[in-house]
Amino acid sequence: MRERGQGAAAGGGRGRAPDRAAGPSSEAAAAGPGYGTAPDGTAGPSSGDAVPSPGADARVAGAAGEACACGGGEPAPDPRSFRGDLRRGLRAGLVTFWDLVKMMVPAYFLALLLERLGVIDVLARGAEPVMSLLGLPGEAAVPLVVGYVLNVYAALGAMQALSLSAQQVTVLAIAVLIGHNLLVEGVVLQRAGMNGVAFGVLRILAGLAAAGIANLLMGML
Amino acid sequence: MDAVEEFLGSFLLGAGDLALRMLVIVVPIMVLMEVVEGTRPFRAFVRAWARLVGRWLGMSERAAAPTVIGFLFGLAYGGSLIVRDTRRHSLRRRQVFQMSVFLSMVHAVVEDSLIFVAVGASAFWIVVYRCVWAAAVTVVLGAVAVAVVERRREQRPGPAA
Repeated sequence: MRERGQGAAAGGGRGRAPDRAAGPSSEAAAAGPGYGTAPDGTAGPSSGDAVPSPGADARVAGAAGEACACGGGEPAPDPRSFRGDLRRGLRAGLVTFWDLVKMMVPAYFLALLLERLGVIDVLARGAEPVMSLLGLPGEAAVPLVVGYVLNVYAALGAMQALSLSAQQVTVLAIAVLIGHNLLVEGVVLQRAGMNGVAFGVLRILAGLAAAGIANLLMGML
Repeated sequence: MDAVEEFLGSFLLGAGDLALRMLVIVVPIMVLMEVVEGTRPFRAFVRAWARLVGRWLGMSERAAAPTVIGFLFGLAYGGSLIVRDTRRHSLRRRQVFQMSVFLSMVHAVVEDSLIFVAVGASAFWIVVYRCVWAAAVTVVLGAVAVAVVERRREQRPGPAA
């Protein structure tokens, strides 16, 4: 699956970054022919081949490769048929799944290792005061920081090494979902003409605030 | 030796658990998106979004495309549409700022939210609450930005921006 995707990407002349959120490289793909802006300013979800979707560098590139039949092999599926949709979706899903697993499993390994070596205990004690404001144990700082630097999948991997209650998982998820992948996404915002660093700070603070408020509200309900 | 074995054992179990959850979430989403996009209801959703964003967040209809794409698929996609539309339509700076704030608070809702639901987070809190939060932050920071710009303009009257 993946080999094929990469081959097609090369054939289609589009770069493919290893990470789903590797911003600059996905720009070309996202701004590609699939997403015309309709004259009225709304997005026209057009016929479907090069439509960006979650984690879809590979998929966009793959579809482009197929369209130009550079890959040889099997014929390109009819872009409108239901079965073609299913097949493309399945392929995209598996490619994305593999990309995510490659990200999450090493993060989980590292988090588990650090936990067994007692490193996380030390970090956790330092982070305790802040984390307790959110109703979280100190060691929850680890997935949070991992998420800031890397992405939500790595954070999820690091979370797997902790044992948290359902409410704690939700609170931590809110903080991570608002602030994550700050380096790569900061570059994207920078390209949009914004101050990437300021947005990074905003996302960390807003994420912690949102998580803290959610924790309070959940306690009251 | 026992410690190493125990470590590897729990690593393999945990990693397998994680991978299985992801497989069950990611593949069906991708298939669903592939089938749904391009259908009538999806287009209706995009149009409704344009009105919603225009009325509630004070953005122009032009902001609809980048925000809906970023909201659904991710900041990289939404952000690159912002870049493109800024060139194409010369979007006002306040518009770009508000779109960026909104998208930096919430993006890739379908995928990112579901992976956390898969490990036990509450869908209501991470989707509905987060959207409300994003809208509130967008409105507040938009107003603050306008106020700051106004004040600066009063202090040193330069060439009209």
